[in-house]
Amino acid sequence: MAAAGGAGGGRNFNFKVVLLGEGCVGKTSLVLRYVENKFNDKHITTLQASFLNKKLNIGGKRVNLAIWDTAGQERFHALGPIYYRDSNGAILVYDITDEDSFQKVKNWVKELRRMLGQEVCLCIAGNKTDLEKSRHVTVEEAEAYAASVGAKHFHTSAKLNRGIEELFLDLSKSMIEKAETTSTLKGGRPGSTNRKSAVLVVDDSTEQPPQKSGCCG
Amino acid sequence: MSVKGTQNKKKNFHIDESELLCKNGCGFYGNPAWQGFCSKCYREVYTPAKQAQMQHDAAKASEPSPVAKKVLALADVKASFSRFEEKKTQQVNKRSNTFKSFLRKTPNKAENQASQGTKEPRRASSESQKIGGEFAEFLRSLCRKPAAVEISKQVRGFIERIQYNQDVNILDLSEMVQDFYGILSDKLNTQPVFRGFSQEVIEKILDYTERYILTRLYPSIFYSLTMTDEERDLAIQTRIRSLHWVTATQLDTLINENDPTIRHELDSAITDIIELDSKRATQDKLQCIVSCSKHIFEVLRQSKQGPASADEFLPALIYIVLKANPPLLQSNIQYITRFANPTRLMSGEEGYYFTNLCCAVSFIESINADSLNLSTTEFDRYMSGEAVPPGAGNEHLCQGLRLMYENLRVLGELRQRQEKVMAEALQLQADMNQFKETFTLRVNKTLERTPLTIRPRKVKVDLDAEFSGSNSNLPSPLIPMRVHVIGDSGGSALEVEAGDDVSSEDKENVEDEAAPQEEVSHRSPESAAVVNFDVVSVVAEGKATSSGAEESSLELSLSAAHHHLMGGEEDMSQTINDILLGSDGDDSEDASCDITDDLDDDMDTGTSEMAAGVTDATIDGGVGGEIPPRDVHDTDQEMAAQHEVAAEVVVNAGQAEGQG
Repeated sequence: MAAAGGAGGGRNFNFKVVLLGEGCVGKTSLVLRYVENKFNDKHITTLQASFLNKKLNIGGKRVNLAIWDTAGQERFHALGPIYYRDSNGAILVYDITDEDSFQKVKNWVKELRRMLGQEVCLCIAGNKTDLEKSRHVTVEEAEAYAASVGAKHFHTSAKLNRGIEELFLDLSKSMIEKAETTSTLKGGRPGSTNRKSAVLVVDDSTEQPPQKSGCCG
Repeated sequence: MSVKGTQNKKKNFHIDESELLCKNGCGFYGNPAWQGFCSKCYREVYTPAKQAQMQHDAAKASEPSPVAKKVLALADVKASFSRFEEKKTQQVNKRSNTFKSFLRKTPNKAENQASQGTKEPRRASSESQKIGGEFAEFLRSLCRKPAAVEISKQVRGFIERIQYNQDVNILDLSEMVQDFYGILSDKLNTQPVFRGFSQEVIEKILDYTERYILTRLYPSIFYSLTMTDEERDLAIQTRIRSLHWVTATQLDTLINENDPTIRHELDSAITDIIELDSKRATQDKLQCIVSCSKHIFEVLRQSKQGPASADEFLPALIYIVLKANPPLLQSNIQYITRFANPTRLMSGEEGYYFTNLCCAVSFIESINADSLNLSTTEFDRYMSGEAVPPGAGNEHLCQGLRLMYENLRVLGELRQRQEKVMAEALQLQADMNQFKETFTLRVNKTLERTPLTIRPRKVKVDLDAEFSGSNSNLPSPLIPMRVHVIGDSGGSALEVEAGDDVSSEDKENVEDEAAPQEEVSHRSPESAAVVNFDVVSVVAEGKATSSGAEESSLELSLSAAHHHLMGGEEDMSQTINDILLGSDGDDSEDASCDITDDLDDDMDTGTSEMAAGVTDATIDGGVGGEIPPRDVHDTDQEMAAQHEVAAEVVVNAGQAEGQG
């Protein structure tokens, strides 16, 4: 689903990356640290931290990451598909001091694999490694799980700026790989994939009426 | 539009030409019988819509019911009936139209017929014309004529194709449009005519193309009342209306609605999202959403003091949508998803905010007791309007209440300032009191340290007297003068002894200033200087009256006496006695005693006073012994300090006033 930015050069990538995870696991801090290299509650200059762009140059390939933050509250869980539709990569964040947030990541992984298949690159980030003392999710468990679902696992700390660069860099590389293999497999122009998004929307619209009638009544 | 037209007509039989045009913006004249459309557009718009509606109704009706056939039949009847009714209303309208047509301006009518007859190129609506002009301008700015021609040919061809295919399904239309974007993009990238265009220019061309096509086709593709869009619009509208009681706190947003500035931002956000429906091009619609989101972020930033994440943004957006209840929300969302360039929706800010809006709508559709942390019974009661949750209704602040809150805020500020002023005034008062205390304390201290001794007024001092104070430093030739003076002093003593009357007379002869002082000097011995004056004046007299022998002996003895006086006092009385005895014999026995007594007294006080006089003189000259000048200096410092404090106080008072 990578929109290769020009048929001639073809080395321009636009990737959509969603950040998923329970509330308060530090999704926003993570991305703010990555894009603006800040960790503080008082970045007044930044108006919002929910949609951020990051331009990268990896091996001469220009990559533009559009990082979408999502609402992590349980009540918005059902809205996930709208967020991660058409995304190239997903970063699943959990709090190493919070076992529940890791369970949540497992749910997300299942859902993503079901909805997007193998097309999406997954990264699991165990955040808040600065609080190693109160760790509740063991390293072995997390890494074993990540390997079992074909995802990469990273230990990050937004506070100490640890592991974040690596996380995004690795994700970008695997997305480029995936985009190149799919484009050679399909060989189609972006137009053919675009249609799919429109169809997806229609699927939504046909899905929703029963929901609506269910709760209106 | 047509209604407005008829109203105008009633007034003055004048009607703007634009108001007679087809509502569709195709350029032909419209007709009230066809609801403001021209005949062609009316058919295009309503026939498929009606058919689709009927099909949909029938399908919907047939879905759950076991009596599907009956309903279908009913639908048929309904359809035929509606056809009949349509005919009838048309006839009625025709009649009224014929009547109205008398009132209509004839040239318009003629023009209308003419234009319809000759099939002139259709005129576009004002929006279409505007974007058309912009597009043409942009193409001209490319300075590549063949490319511009090619683009405009493509676009025009596409628009015509769509306009002649309007009864196709909206999904097919959407696909056609999306295909066209793809084809055009490919052409721009590959065809030789367009070679040399940079990526930005190509993006711009695509952007303008999209804008132009959608603005031109907007009426036919947006208002095609097919499918379930209309129904869903109504459903979400009623849904939002029934959720009017949802408060910001129930959604866990941090919005403080009573703050006027935040309130203002909220209003802007609501206005933006409502404006969504009034825009034609998807870019403009998306821009409305982006602007709305920006306002929401501003609200959150003010409420929370930091950049907002999605965790806070989505609830706030949901709240805004609930409060705004934007018209045709679902239609607009569908329109954007169908016709916007997919790259825009997939990535980029606009796409993100649009996705959030979709999420918000989806959430509102499925909102339930759990998602608001309410019990089911509570939720049901609120939904049915039986109860109102606490704190609800706050958000629908009327102008008066808002004004009240605004005034309350201002009053609060005023109170704070008033308190501050009062505190400062009290502080100032305390400062003043303290200053007063310290002032008196310091003054007292200074007084204690340097007691005020009121010295008698200084009298002009004769040069001779001054000399006597510091004669030791004088060069030797000046000393004989003193010798002379000393001799006189002895004489004076004699004279004084001889009689008070004479001496007083003499005083007057000599110097006016000295005269009054002399008496004082006699009664309360004051200063050697005065004594000296006395002596001088008396000497003159004495010289004149006394005999030659006596004179010489006196002079000698007195000089000796004075010499003693300079050296030490102890011998002096003795010498004087000797002299007196030597010169006058028994007669002067008593007198000599008197004189010595007098002189003793005089000398005692005199010398001390002399010293004082000298120091005084030095002070005047500014040369300075140690103690007195320091005193002066001290008091000066004291005064300066007091001045400073006073100045400070004045400054403080000024500041307090200023702050007040």
